[in-house]
Amino acid sequence: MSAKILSVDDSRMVRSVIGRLLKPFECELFEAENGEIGLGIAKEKLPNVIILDYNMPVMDGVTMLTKMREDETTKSIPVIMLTADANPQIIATVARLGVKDYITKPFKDADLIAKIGKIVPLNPKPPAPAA
Amino acid sequence: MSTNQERVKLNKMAAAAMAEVLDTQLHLPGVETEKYTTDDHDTLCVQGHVAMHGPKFTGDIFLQIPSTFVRSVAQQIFGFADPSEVQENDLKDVVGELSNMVGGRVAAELLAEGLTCTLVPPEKTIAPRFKHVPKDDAMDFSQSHWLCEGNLISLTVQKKLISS
Repeated sequence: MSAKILSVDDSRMVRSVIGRLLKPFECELFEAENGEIGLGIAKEKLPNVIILDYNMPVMDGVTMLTKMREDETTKSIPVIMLTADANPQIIATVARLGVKDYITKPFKDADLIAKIGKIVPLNPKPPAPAA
Repeated sequence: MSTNQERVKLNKMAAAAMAEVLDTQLHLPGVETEKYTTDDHDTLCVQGHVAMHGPKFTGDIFLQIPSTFVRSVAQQIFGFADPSEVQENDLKDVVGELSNMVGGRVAAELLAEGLTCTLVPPEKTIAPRFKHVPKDDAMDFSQSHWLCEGNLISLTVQKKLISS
């Protein structure tokens, strides 16, 4: 079974970078540009892990996380915060909401993959059959 | 009054942030340079501005990157076959996020000095490069220029303590 991963970030650049990093692995990647869309996808797809930004328009990461924790279907989905904001108040808030990890931007590719891999196994895709 | 020591400290923070963002996000080396001339004013740049608001200070990050270079970077990041496929929103997205990351890195350094803040989502514009100047003497101000793949990137960081 391949992992289902949801990336929620208002920056298309960040979502693209995450997509490129996960390309070598057997996983299904979903994307959302704000918390509201992310919450909908989380309820529908029940991902194995969510990579969540904090500062987003429409609905920020903390609000999405709070709403997820209030919902039986999404309350136990592991979340990794990936944000430029290292404000201690935000870190304390998301810690109370049970995030698995907190990565500050700029991030190293290997660090992000390692932290996702701690939550959900990332198996390399088998080589494509020769034509 | 801003002190020279404060300016040096801000310069170091800005330099560390810029080098880390270029290295980890674009996988490109950036070298700080003094080679800034008035000719560079005409270069069309994508600019990102991130404001920092804290209980003890306010500040800003301004990042200016030539639009031709951002187009080439965006083409690679988004996997476009041709640079013409890159849209204006893509250019702004890339520079906005890079500014946000520089802001995050500077904010983390300031936090280590006991200055907490929140980052305002980046404002993004496309315009000829211009030189920022400090608004007043009380502002700590750092302006640096970087060469990355032959492209001149300008970074301005400023902060001002709120008088109690």
